[in-house]
Amino acid sequence: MKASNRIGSWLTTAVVLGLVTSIVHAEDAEITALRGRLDTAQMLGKSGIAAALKGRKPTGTRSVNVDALLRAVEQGSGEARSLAWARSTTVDGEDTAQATDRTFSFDRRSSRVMLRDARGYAAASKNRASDTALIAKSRPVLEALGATSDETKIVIRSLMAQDKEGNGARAQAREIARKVMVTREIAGIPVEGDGVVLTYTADGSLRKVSGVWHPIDFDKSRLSTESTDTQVSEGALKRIEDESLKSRLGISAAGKVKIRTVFVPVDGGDGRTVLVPEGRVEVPVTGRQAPMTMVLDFAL
Amino acid sequence: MRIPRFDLLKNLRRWKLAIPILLLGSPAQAEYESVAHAVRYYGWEEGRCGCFDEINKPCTEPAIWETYAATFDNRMTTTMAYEQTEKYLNMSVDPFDFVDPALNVLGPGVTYGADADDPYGTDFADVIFYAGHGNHACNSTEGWNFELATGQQHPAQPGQQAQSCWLRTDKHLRWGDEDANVAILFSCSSVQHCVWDAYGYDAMATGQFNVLLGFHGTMLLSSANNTRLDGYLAGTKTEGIIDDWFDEITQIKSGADNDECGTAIVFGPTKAERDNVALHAGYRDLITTPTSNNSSFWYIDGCDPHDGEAL
Repeated sequence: MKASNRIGSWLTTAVVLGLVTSIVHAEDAEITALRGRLDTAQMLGKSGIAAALKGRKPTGTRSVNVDALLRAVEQGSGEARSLAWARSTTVDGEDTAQATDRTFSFDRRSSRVMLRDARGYAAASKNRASDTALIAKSRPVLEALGATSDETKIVIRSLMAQDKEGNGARAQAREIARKVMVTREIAGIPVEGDGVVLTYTADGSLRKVSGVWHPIDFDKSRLSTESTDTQVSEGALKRIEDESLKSRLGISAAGKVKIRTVFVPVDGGDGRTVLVPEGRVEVPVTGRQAPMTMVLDFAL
Repeated sequence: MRIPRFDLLKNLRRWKLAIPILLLGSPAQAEYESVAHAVRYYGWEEGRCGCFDEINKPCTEPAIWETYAATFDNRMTTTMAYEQTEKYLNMSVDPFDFVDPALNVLGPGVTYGADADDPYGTDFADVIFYAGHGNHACNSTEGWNFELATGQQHPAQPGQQAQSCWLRTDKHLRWGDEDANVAILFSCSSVQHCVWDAYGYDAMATGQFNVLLGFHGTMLLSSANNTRLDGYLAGTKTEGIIDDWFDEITQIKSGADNDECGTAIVFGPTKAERDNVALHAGYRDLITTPTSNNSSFWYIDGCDPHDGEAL
């Protein structure tokens, strides 16, 4: 290479480096400002996860029991006798079953369950089931799915519809059905993506089960991290910085930046599903006129 | 009227597609069609929709908008086995494809909009998907409406300097007079209770359009919502089009003002017809109802999002 060319290439390198440095510095100032806005109430690092799991660390493997699930569905919908289920398993590993009014499937690849009852949701009766009764009916279904009571967080809500005819005023809302909404937690730490909803008639007859519940191999799962709280926070900020360069984040000047720790089901090989901890950070960003919140994923 | 360069290109593409159709005669109508529109990029280049309110600041460009559209498009192609599935991103999402020409949005005598145009528009498809910025208004100044942001500006109205990317449910959109049955608006406050209550969605539902799915209040831009959208579409081939939306999308969380509230509107003459659609229609088994401004708003009791009242 000629000397003049070499000088030229040095100059180019210097200019490029200078530009990169100034961009990084501009990002740094914004990221530094975010430190004061971190909300870490739901963030757990190494010691936090260890403390949460102390004496509550799950072991073994949860798995679905389709026979028990179908029995529980029968009981949940008030059948006095067992239904004649026509069962089959596809080559893709999907268990299906059909009985009067009911269709059931459990896809072993995605761990997705779906039970529908064609009888629909009857109009609300006077015998409205209590929340306790709905939970009691849901427990055997959940247990058969591998959803043990120590891992389930339950909220019961009504599915409502409100009618409006033409330019008239809206009518009083009517209750269509009741939903037992179940999310998964391990020692209070959410398992992202796992959740099941059991839908009942107002008087408490089970009509639908839908959602995903992975059979987790806890012995092979990584239910811990080596990252300290500080390292988790820094990991979140680094993730925001990386995303900022990619997606030109316009970070809002106000609002908390929430960091959460979650467990995520991943393929552990040999047909096993295992959990790993991951971080989530919620960043308030400027949208067009309306603000938005982005949730960024990062490794722990 | 100035026509953006991109529109000229698109018109050429339209004609190119028309030639073989003219040669072969009229092709058989596809039985089920879907179209996805998603906008990630806003700002900077001529014709794009900028962050007018924050002109010198970065305008966030979340890639996840495109991911949502890809997830929808993939499910409609595979699980639902739709005969025609289209997907458009960013500057290809222009107001021309959403606006109904009969609405005369640029004033009398100026024809604008081709929402029924197959394959670029919206109303030509049975199911319309949109992912991008959403905003709602519920006040006497701005009116009662939801508005979505396209990826390209539409021309200013005669006598006005401002250009706009926002399309409003009460002014610009009219679906169902061609083919649309269902729209999923995957954006913040797209199915907002106060807008519905003040008849802000009535004008957009004509013909056979009868299902609008979206959010009341804020929707988080998360990979978890992509998984939920995928899960919803995995199970709704034959039924559950509205009922299942709540199982997958609604997230009731600890604390106030932070739930994610999936919501839905069904249009149809009678309560019984609307309930039948809500509880029994699936994407491969759509149930049509005749034109009606009678509607039902479906929600989960007590859902309390950011940017919306508790339901």
